[in-house]
Amino acid sequence: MRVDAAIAAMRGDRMPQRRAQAAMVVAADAWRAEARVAPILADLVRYGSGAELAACPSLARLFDSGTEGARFAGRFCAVYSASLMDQPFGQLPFRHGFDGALSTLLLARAGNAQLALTALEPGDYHAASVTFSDAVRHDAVVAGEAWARATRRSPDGLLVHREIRVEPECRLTLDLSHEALFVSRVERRLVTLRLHRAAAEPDTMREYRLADGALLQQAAGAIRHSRQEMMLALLGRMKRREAAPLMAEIAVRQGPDSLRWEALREALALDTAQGFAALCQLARSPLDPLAVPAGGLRAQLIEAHPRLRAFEEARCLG
Amino acid sequence: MNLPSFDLSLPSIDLSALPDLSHLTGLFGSINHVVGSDDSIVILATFVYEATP
Repeated sequence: MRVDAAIAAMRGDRMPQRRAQAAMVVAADAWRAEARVAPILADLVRYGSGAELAACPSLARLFDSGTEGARFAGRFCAVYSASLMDQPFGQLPFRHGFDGALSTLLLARAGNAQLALTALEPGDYHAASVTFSDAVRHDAVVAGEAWARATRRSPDGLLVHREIRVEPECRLTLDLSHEALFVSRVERRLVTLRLHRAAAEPDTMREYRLADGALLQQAAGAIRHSRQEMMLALLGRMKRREAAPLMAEIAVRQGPDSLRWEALREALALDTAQGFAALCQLARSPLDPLAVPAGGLRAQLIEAHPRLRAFEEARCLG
Repeated sequence: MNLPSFDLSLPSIDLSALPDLSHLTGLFGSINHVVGSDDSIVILATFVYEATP
């Protein structure tokens, strides 16, 4: 393995790399404070906390039909091209990733919103499924040329596709809960400025098969929900019976069905009275999406444990 | 949940006897919905570690 002399020298003296990194951070701070950048980042904070995009004019301008998006991306690249010329061993102090096809660079993040620069390498891309998540996305194409497939899932579950040409000046707004964009062929590296905002209470993410629209898999839409689900499991395995009332509350209040059902199962296993009371409440709430499975489970448990019927009747009388 | 006092001893219910929903829901990040790097599982694991170090 050949190790460049400049890199080998850093083994003995860490200062050059520290200096390079400090210069990168200084460049990032200076970029954020620029007169054309600071108002955009301030708008991103408002947008990330729930404001309409129209109420964030500096940010919105990046995604309207003008050239502001390209100018913003170009300025960022110019700043860091100069910084990297000065400090070739510097690391960009922005979250970034590259998987051989797609590079992402997270320029800023505030609340539920993220502003990122993405680049997709030339080539053909294939997918057998489409995924929807509870978020809104605005794309401003900065450079490149590509073909993409826009997919919309109608309320009756039908997937409708449309081929679109993607090139500079192309602006897209997608409600990702039922719209998706898949870039199928990139002719010139496709560079896009992307604004993404997840819903405040994101619904479950779902993946459907393109061929027939069948649901393939689903996943929690928010980290918080998965964390709570894992906490429920942990408390259950620890046999923390005092957690059962809280679990029963989670089961009957608003929230993701998966989390509520797990709360119900754990509550039933920890404390039959608490869990079964919540189960009966769910079974008697016809508008609740869990009413049908709760009704089935209630009947199953009463058949296995007839004493539960007497408990339920006593509760109703109580 | 406040329950009326009820003197009947109730059976214990085994968790494994309780069914899952017909469509299971994976953990956050278990669908890799973008072409590209995705570190959401790392974020989730970090959260869990913070909750139960």
